[in-house]
Amino acid sequence: MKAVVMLVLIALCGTARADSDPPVPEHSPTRNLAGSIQLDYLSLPEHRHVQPDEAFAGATVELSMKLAMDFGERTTANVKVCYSCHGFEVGMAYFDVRVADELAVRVGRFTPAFGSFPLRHDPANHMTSDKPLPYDMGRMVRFRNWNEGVLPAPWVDNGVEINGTHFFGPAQIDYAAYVINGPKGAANGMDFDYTLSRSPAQYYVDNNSEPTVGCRGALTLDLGPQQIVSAGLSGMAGHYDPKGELGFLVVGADASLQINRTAFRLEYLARWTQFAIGDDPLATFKYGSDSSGHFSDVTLRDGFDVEIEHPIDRLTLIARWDGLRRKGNVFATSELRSTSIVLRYTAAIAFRLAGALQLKTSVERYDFSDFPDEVAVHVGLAGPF
Amino acid sequence: MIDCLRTILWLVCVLVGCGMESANPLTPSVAPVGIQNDCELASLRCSRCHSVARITQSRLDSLGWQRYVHRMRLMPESGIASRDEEPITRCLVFRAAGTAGLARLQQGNP
Repeated sequence: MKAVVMLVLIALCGTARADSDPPVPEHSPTRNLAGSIQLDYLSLPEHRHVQPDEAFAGATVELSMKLAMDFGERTTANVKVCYSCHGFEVGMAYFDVRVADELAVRVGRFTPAFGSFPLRHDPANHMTSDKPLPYDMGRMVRFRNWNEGVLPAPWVDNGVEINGTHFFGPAQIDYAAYVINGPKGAANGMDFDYTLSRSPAQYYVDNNSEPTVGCRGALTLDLGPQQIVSAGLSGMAGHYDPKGELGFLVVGADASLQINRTAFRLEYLARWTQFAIGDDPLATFKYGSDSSGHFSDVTLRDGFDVEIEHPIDRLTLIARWDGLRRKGNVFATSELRSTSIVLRYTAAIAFRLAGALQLKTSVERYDFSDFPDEVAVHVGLAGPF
Repeated sequence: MIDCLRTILWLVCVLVGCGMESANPLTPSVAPVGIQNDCELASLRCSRCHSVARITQSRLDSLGWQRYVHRMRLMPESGIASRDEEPITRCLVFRAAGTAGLARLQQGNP
């Protein structure tokens, strides 16, 4: 802990300088305004009269605006507001203070480093209309039954992150470690309750006064002039209930290979979540104790994503295979079982219409273990400005 | 089994598509070989996080590009090493301001 405090102080003092920095002209503070818009229409052609509890069929819009301000070479501030299904949200509000490539400190509200996809979470930066299932946030069919993915993206939280990069030869190592408020859930909770993250009861205030910690490490190698391979590991742990008694652990592994502009990506996330058994578990839950009379109080939720993306002039072709699995007890009223699985197969095409405006289309096949299978069709427009 | 076959079919379609040639939209139609190489590098590095169209549609002057590339390099996991910053900037400045802009950049006065 002392070491962390020391690093933060050194960074804030900002007395060191990266010798490897190329010269950049001194300049007064500069502002940069950017943003993105995505309007997407989701249709479930095999499923008439879709209820909002089943899927957000119809049109949804996601828009964001970001103001970045550089205060010289070492300090940057970013503020990003988003408007979508949750109304106005602050997606970013932080300072970056950089000492060297190997040490930077981020303070405020941000997306902590976890996995690979969150780097591309903005709709203008990924080519499908929705996110991979492990990172789904309200776009998957049956999202209420599943209570979203493993770690919905963008995961935005308040805290401090230390990160850095070291380049050596053809390789690059990235690291990040952070302390954040963490997810929220009810005292007698079964899982995270994402609505509490934006509820007026607490807004962005921590619910249990106990920080969540996490870290990430990634290695990137230049295999040749047009080939990059990278792999990363991530982890996050803490408690999510108001009393700080129900713990969780999320781990992730990711790998990608880029050959020219063709990208192959692979990602896996798993989350173990403790839940409150309560006084009368037999009435509360669907499944009873095991043969030794023990009630398990942990669920496992994991998911994967495999995708290939290849641009051909104005077209980008995408093939994606992703899935989610949930193992463990469920509420007696839940339609899920002790082991539930959904697999999804996606074929998508993004076509650049004009400027950076993309027409995104995709066909998805959901293969549910507990519900009828579904075909979903997305047509949308997305672009940055 | 059918799902597996469907997945394989999609992958085959994409791999067939991968065989199709795709010109780098960052590379200007007329550019010195050095700039073409710089633009290949820019395309490789930048497309890791966003589409190349995001660059081609941005309207910045030479100084703007110099600052922007530097800023992108400092993003976590950007993959842009300090040695990459100069060639990527050269590509984007050439696209924005041609040989005159490149000459000013090399004189340290973008």
